[in-house]
Amino acid sequence: MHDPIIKDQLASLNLDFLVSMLFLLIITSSIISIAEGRLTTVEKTEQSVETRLISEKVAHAIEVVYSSGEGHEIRIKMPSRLKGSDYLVKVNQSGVLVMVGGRRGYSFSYMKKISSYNTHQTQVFMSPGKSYIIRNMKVNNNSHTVAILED
Amino acid sequence: MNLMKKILIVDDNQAQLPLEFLMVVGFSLIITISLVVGLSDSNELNQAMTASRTGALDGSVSDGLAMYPEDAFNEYKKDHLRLLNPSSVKIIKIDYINQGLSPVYRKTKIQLRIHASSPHLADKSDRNCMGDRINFYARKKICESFHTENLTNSFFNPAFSNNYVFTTADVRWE
Repeated sequence: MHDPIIKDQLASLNLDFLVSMLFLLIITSSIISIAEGRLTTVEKTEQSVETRLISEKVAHAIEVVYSSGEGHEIRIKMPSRLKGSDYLVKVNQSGVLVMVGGRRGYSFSYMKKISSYNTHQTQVFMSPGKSYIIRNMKVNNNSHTVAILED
Repeated sequence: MNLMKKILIVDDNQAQLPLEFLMVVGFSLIITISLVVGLSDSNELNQAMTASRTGALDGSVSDGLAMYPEDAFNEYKKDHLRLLNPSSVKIIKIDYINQGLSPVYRKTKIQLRIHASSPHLADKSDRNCMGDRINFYARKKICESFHTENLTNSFFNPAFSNNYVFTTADVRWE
């Protein structure tokens, strides 16, 4: 019968409410801006941590294989993506380099011979989502090499 | 129907719009408007400081985990091999100094000074590199926060907000 806005018996749309909503919106928008920045930082940090972990894991496996003697091997499963980004791992005689999203991380290792099992190259690329076997092999009478082969 | 509306407004049974209320609202508006300028400036500075803190954290994470952009990585590979190893980096606090109105930019100039700690990194030049990275990310984040990337150079130095211009002093290592 009556127009509900004119009645407003519960006073749910009074001036106090509108002013409160205005302040709430201002505060919320500034908090959202801060939260958005922090979330981006967290995601980036998470990706950096995962990248560093991969790099250290491969370098550690190479050290363990090399120091454990002929025939010792370790199998490593590479993650398919690092927080949604493609990556590439490059291993050579001085360490392990991981490249992801325009950034690079490097893990040093003690100088040793590294080779691809099939191609005998001294620099090996490890691709996302694949499994690799890292094996200690004797190449000459006294010389050992760490061979990386795709599983 | 129109008659009914008029009666309800004049009645005002629940005293929603008394004269006192209107006066309070009026005074509140006058005070609020006079405070708006100061409040918005403070809010802007607060937002910039928060952004710089987030940026400094970004920088410390990059330094701490030794994850760098390609050009920095290649530079460190030549001259700062220690920086390619992870290290502990902690942001302690961020101070700022108001340096008054900048005649060049016609904005209030604020200098940020970030205090950080990295107990296992003793070399001064290595620390400078890390500090530069932290400062870079702090300025970058301010520009991103206020969408002023196009107003500054590739080093984001100085960083701009609407009413302030931000520079960074060398990071103080503690």
